[in-house]
Amino acid sequence: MACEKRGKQRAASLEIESPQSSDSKATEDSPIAHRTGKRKAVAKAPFRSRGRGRPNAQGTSAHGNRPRIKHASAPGSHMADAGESLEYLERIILRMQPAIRAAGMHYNGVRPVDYTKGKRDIYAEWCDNPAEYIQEQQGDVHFWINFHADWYDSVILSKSHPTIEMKSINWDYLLNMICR
Amino acid sequence: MPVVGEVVNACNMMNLTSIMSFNLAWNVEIVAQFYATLYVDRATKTFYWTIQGKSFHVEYAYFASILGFPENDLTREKIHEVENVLDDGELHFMYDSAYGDIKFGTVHGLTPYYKLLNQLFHYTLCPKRGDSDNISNMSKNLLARMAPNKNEFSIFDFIWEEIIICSVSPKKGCHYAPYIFAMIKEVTGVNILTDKSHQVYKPKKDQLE
Repeated sequence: MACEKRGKQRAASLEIESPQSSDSKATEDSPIAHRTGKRKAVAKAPFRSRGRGRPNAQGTSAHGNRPRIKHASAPGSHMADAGESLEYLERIILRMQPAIRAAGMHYNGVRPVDYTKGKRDIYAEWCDNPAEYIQEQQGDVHFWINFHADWYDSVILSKSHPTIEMKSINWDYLLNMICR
Repeated sequence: MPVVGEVVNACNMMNLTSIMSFNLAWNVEIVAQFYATLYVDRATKTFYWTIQGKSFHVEYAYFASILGFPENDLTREKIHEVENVLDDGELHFMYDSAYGDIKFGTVHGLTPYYKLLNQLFHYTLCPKRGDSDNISNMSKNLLARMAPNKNEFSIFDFIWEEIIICSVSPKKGCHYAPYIFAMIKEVTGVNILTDKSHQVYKPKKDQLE
């Protein structure tokens, strides 16, 4: 019963408060609104919560009628429908990003391995044809097995410039230098 | 500067000019995925790797043809098969005290011919990060092979073996990105967008002297 009462009280208070907050004209016309005490109460609300312009009559809360923000898609989700084809690589420039690990770090006791530390027999860990392996990596688009994801994260991604700078030789340019 | 002419002639004689002038922009992520997932079948001489989770492979001879190597390049002597990394002392014939204090295994005291060759290889056949004064690993063998009257060697095999070494060395970066990217584009049949340009080496005159 106490709960019901509380609910009813809440409902009643809503009915009273909502016209004041939803319709600014009504508050302007009301003599109560001109009292300084009320103004002080309104001024306590932070500026950022007040919004601008004329409030919408249907609005019931500060966030109710704001336009929805379109959230960016999750990394890799634009390739989710790519299937077997890589043709989307003609339209999208791939950028480096850490391997996505859907399974928690402690899942099955498998932790990411840092291949830059310690001595390891890479040849022993080197895997056979990746196409013949069962997918270990869950949630990652580009790696199937943990070894590849760990190697990518610890060895390749840790470098400021993963690919070594290369330049091509313009032989004509070199030969012209002799003549100069 | 007669040394430039000598170097160009030597590269011509050793069939290096074509691959050294090879130019292709690449995508860093694609090359990184190649190195992270590379598996080499030594018996069939095949590279296996995945791009975006899709598996690909390329045979030795096909890779060579993509880079424009003629078939006879594959039958030439293979440096990685017949030689170990040379000791610094074995490079003595490349040095002359007239060109500064000699430190074997570095560029200090190298004759201009080998110095220029080393500069050119540094950006092409033996790309290297870090201390550019040191001549590292198989770069020594490559330079030694450029001595007059040396036999021709298989350049593609040199690149092939170096790719394998890089793929299992945590300290090394991803070498030969343009060559690998060209091969991946050919094998996948996709004109993949690039994010790294392949620049042309244009040394100033004082850099060559």
